[in-house]
Amino acid sequence: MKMSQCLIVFFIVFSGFSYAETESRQQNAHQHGKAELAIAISKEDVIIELHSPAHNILGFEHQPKTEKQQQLLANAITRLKTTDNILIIPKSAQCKLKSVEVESPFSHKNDEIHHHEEEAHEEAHSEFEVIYQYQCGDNKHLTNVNLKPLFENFPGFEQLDVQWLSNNKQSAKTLSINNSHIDF
Amino acid sequence: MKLFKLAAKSAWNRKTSLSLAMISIAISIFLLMGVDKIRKEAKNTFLNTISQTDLIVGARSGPINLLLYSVFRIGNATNNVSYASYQDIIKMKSVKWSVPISLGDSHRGFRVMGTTQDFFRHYQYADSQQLKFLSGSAFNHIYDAVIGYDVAHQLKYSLGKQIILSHGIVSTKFSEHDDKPFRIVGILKKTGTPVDRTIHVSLSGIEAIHIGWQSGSRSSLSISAEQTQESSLKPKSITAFMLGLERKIDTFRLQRKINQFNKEPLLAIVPGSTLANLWQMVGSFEKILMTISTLVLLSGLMGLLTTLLSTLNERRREMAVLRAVGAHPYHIMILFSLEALFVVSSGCFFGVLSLYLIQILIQPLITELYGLHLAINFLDSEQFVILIIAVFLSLLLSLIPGYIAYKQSLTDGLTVKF
Repeated sequence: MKMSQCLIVFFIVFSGFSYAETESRQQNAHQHGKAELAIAISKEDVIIELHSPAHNILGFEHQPKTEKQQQLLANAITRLKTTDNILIIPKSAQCKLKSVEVESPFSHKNDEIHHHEEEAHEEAHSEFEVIYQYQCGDNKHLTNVNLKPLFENFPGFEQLDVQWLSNNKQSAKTLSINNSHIDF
Repeated sequence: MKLFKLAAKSAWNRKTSLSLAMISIAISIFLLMGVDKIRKEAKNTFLNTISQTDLIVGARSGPINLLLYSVFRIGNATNNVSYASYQDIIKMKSVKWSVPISLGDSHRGFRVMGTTQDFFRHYQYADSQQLKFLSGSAFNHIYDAVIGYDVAHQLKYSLGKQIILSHGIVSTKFSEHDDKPFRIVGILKKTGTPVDRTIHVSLSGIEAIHIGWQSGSRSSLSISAEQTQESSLKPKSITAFMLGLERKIDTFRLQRKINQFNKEPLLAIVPGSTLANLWQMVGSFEKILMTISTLVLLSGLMGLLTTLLSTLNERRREMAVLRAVGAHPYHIMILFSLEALFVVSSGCFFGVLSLYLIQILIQPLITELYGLHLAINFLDSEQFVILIIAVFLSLLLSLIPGYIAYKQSLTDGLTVKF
């Protein structure tokens, strides 16, 4: 009798544990100075995705607290939306920007939650996600891209891991300020 | 034009030493071009191993590790992927096709891969080439096997042959699945990829041979091959899987989605990108090879300079006579430059010629042994640049003996000095 009770308690406790486990505790790698860029080229659409720690863009990774930091964040988002600040695409490809989405880690202002968890968030890392969508008139001329403006405008970037794909080709390259050119 | 004739005649007088210098340059050019060719071919074969596969998914480890074990059969998986997660992912909207891969068994040193018939339909290599059967066809039954070209060739297997798979990648008598033999139903054509060295069986085949093996070796309650057919053979896990997408532009989006898959830590890689990353690492080795062959070329050019300088003494009177009959100092310089040009350009010519001759000779051999088609191409721009640099350097170097000869011809006059 006691044995079975023990077992029941055991099961209840462990089922509770296993429930807790379903909540994800996976953590992504996060390294300041490094960022990822993905370029996908189809017949006329081009999607460019930038994933970067906020530190590269803002110089800090916490919720902006002062007026100045708020300003910095707003400023950075505007600069990220201007593609001339990021990359150079050959003019002959006739690419037109269709949309830019900037997903800032601080854009959802949920003050209540943040106050609640402020301490935890203090240390937390945060990522920017920027998605540029282009439509290009002549993809044959889309033979290269240069990321020099990104390195110049955001000195926080040191290394950019780029992977790209177009038609049947897939490739990758690691860029830096002195080596910022990609030939597709 | 006169100078040209003069230079040719003068060079003919010293043909032995000059032709030796030429041979040394030919050898160094051959070496430099050969290394360049091997480097490019190796890269091509490497990059040609997989094509048209948008993503490869496996347990979370390093991208290069995943690529190596799933495509090149080098190394081992750190973990398996649960079959349930595989099912979840292939149900995603953007997925067009998928090929599961289950590794871990072997047969006489060749890896066994469990997969589905989709593998033969969707796996592509080189320039979107599909797998073709030399004989037979894809597997239909649990105990059917399709073998790669090298397996058939090296083990002298033909259709209908029964084979026994071993548990793990090291074959021991104790770990053979000898109660469940497989029958060869297909032999693939040579591809030049690791597929040639693989035995392909169905996923249910892999499951079937492991029934009763849960403890790592065979349990005493053995289940016969016939009984196994009946029991359900749904795999619990696979090693990795390949994905093809409806629209390639969604590749990175799906990659991110899989990498953030909450139920299981998975890793999705774009094979071409990972190959490029891997090649960046291997690249330093090829740079060393290129540096060595460049140094060999430099030593060849230095040899030429030595030859020119050593004949300077013999040619004192030749120069003095030329000066006496009214040759300008720059004529003397040009004579030397022309001579160097002769030697180096014919060295380049013979070097390139021998490279092509050897390529033509060994091409059938390489196709037979390694299944690689060695493309014999015209020199590419990079190789042209190498040749032009070699010629230019020789012209530059020839100025040294030219200058010395010119100086001497002024002071020497026609008198014979001992």
